Amino acid sequence: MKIDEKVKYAQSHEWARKESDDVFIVGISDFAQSLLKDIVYVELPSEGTIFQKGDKACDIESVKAVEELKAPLSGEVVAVNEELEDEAESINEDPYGEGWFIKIKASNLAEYDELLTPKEYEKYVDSLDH
Amino acid sequence: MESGLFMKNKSEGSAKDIQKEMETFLGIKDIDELYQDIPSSVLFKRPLEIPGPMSERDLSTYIDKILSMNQKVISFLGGGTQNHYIPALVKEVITKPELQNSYTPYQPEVAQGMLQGIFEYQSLISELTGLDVTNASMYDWSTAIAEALLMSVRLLKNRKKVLITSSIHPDRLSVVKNYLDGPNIDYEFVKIDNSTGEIDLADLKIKLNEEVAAFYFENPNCFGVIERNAEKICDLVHTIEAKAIVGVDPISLGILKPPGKYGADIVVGEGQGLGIPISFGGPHVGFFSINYDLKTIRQMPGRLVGMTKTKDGKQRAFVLTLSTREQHIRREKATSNICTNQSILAFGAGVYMSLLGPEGLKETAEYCLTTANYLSQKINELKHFESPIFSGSHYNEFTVRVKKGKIAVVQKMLIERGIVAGFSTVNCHPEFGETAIFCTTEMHTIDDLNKLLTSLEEIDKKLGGK
Amino acid sequence: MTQQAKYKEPLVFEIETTKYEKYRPPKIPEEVTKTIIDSTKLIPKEMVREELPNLPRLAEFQLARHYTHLAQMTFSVDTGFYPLGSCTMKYNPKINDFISSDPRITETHPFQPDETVQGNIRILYETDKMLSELAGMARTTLQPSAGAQGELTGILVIRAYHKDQGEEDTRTEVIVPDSAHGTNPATAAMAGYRTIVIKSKDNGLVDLEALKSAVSEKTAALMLTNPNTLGLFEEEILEIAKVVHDVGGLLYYDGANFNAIMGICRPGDMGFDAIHFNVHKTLSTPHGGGGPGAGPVGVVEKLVPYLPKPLPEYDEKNKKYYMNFNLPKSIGKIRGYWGNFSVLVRAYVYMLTLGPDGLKRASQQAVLNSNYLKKKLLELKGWTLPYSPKVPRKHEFVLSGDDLHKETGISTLDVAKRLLDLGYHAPTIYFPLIVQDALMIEPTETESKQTLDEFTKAMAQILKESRENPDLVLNAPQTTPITRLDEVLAAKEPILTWRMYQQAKLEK
Repeated sequence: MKIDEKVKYAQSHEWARKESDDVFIVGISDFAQSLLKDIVYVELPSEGTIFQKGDKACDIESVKAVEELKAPLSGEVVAVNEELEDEAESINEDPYGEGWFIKIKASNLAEYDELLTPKEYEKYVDSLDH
Repeated sequence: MESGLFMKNKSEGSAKDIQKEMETFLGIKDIDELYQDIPSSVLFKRPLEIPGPMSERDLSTYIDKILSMNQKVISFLGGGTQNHYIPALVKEVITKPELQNSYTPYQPEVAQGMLQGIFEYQSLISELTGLDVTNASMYDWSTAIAEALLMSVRLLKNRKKVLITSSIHPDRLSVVKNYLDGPNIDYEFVKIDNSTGEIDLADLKIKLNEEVAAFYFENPNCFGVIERNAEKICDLVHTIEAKAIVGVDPISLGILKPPGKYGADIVVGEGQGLGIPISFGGPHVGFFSINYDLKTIRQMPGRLVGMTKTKDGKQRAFVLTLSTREQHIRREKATSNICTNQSILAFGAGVYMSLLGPEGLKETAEYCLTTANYLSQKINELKHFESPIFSGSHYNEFTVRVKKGKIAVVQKMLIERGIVAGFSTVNCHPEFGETAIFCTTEMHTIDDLNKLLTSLEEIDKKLGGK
Repeated sequence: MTQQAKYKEPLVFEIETTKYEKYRPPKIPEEVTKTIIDSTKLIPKEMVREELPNLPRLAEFQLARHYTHLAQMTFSVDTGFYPLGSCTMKYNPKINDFISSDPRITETHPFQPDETVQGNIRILYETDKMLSELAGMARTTLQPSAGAQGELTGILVIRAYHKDQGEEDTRTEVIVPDSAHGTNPATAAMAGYRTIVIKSKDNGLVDLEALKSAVSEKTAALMLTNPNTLGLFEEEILEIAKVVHDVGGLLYYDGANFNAIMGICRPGDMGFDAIHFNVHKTLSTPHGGGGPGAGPVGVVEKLVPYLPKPLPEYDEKNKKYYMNFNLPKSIGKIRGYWGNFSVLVRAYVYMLTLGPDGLKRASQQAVLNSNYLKKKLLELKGWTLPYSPKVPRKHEFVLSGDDLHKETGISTLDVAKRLLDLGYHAPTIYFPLIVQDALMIEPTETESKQTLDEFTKAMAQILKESRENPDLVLNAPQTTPITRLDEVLAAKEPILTWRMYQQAKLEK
């Protein structure tokens, strides 16, 4: 299981990385993509959509299952990764890089502090029944 | 003597012995021990009060007696299920035990035959409707309409209303209402022009607004009227970016314009006419076609067979795909209600379409079209009958109104002559008076047509005599 | 090793036409063509089809061969054993097929007046009665086309009941156990309910305490299967029923596992208020490669007024059967016409063939076969039986391939694929979700001890191969018409019709 040291994590397996003062890039962890296996399609929200932390932001579809990406932070969507439309497999191949989903302009920076550190997330995943 | 020459007949062993063997293996004295965890108050202690058992012969005689209570009639009924000729090949193929007694093809490696047959069905329906994608079947036309409306509402997220033509058959409407109820979707009817029988475009224009997700109409409609303005209707629906859903008769598509060509977004209909017997109302096969689009396909209900390759890339293969749309996978996030569908019948419809071919389908449709118009014309010559009551063009169904007395009485008199005449609209459309909808198909011989006409002539005279 | 016929069978569009005569539809009668001189005028020009549809032009003999090939590449109950849990793949008796194809059934129209179809209505009436007796219900609607539609009907009836009590707005939740089949929560969602999932206990059964915390005045219904999807009987069913009834909720029975209890116990006696049957499971009607089936729904007396209309009735006075539409509180119709009639005829014939004792023996034999096979497979020491290993199962059991997977790297999927090489259909895999690497096995009563013993031998072989020669299992199947296929490609680049196939070829 790959853990990226430069991001923080949500218990629902999303990660967020600070790009600038209040803009964060969001994706799903390596653990999450390994459970889903081959991802074939994602449905991304439109720019300008406002989410509260925990809201469903994206639909992720693999061959046998469908999952949700929940917004790890409240805020407004300022960019979406349109490459995923044709190349959903980059989520499997490079979940922390090319496989990013959306960028959120956070409305409450304190929420970022509440996310799990890489070590905390690793510990959490190890404790799960898998 | 070699032991092989005098082998014991293995099937000689008594069934009781085998059962004892199995019970001993399990360490029990009696099968009842396997039911020990059932609370005694719940155990059913008396014998079931149902008839039987019956030997095959007794069963055949018993059922024969029951079925002889049915009366053989010449029927001019339609209403979504029609008496079309079923070619011998179709009958033979769908009763092949390998196909009929197979399970849903979830293990594609041993079910390529079934999968390919369904892929062919999907393809052939798409050729008729003019839209790229067809699913592996719905239960019937009425549930296909319901699912199409629900799908449109999902696609146009903030719209919670749909429009429905008032020329939808009441049987189908009753089902649609139930499906719209659960998710609380509003519906409103669009009027038809009482003289042409076609959709009233002005009324449609007024009712189309940003709240509406879709408009459903039938072509031909339940009165048999062909919607001449189908393209205009779809254009109007598109001006507010709603979905145009059309319900059609598949055989009519042998001679009528495919809805894909006049702007339909979703096409639904009853595939029963394609080689499946009426069977007193079921099982039938609903079809459902849309144009392919990454987002839209994800909202499409029903199973889908797709083409792919084997992992080693060497062979073409078929498989159930995009299964994450299906309700048993989505569970509480489900958006449609279909698991078991009408597979073998879809397969059969595929056989029918392949056997008839374009010319065969066209000729069949022409038979239906011309005999219906012939009958209608002839009935109209009778003093007390008017047919059709609409001035629009008709495919193979048409209305007949009796100008004196009740249509129910006419129907009763026809039953006495062994003829079932039409579906009365007195309850669902009282505004059209004492009217019934008749249907003819290529199963009606000239003798059948003449029998109806002669009977109506006699009835006409009787009506005059009063 | 067994082998299915292997053909590189072209699509109908890829078969070349022939000069041989094609199918001929009947000719329009002369009298008609004499009267309607110009049939082209009958269709408005805007609606005339300009190009003939792109259907194949093939002779019957070409198609006969084509479909024979396709049939030979399809596994069926007539071919071999389907140990599919939750599907009850029992043998489909031929007499059912024969009788249901009687023209007096196939040629009757649903809108024919009652007096012309007395036989049909009588069959519906008697089937209603028989199913109601079997389940311990008051009346059974025969309208739903399949199990899932039966579930929807049952939940809609329950909803109508609550609405009539004035509680439509308060009762917004439906409870399901985590072992439930996906159609249960899906149905609840379709009917506008919120689903509450309760975790099962360690022994695999419903957690009564969890249920007590989950119910409230918001509970519309609890949906349960009994025996459950693990094949275990819910011993506390009477207490479960009381908990739900005490808050004014109703109990819905998913009849997928009814084959375990026919004539032995009845959902009505356990406290269930509505039940659906899967006639294509329990009552031997053919699966048809995915359908058609039927999902009749039985209900207790207080729910009868809400059943879909019409209901078949018998008028004692005039000795006539009739379809009764006079049901003012009915939810209306949930499908066209009266239901999948010819499928119901098959179920009717099946019940008459077996009779009361036969149906009971069928269930008993199904349960015996299941426990026998379970013990034989556990003796192989490869798979484990999670949840209450000491409690007998009913007609099905769920093994876990988790240990085997960890030991050898061979997954349940690999085992399933290798079984195909050995001439068996795979069991249900990865369901229920509460068992890791699940293998759900249901032999049904129509398998002989010999078949079960041979199946055990095949599983033993796969176990040995997993440990000594895993490639054989990992690369399975090898003897089927095609080897494992690329499901990712199928989902990423969908080709769903001939049109799309042509389009895809062009784009390349």
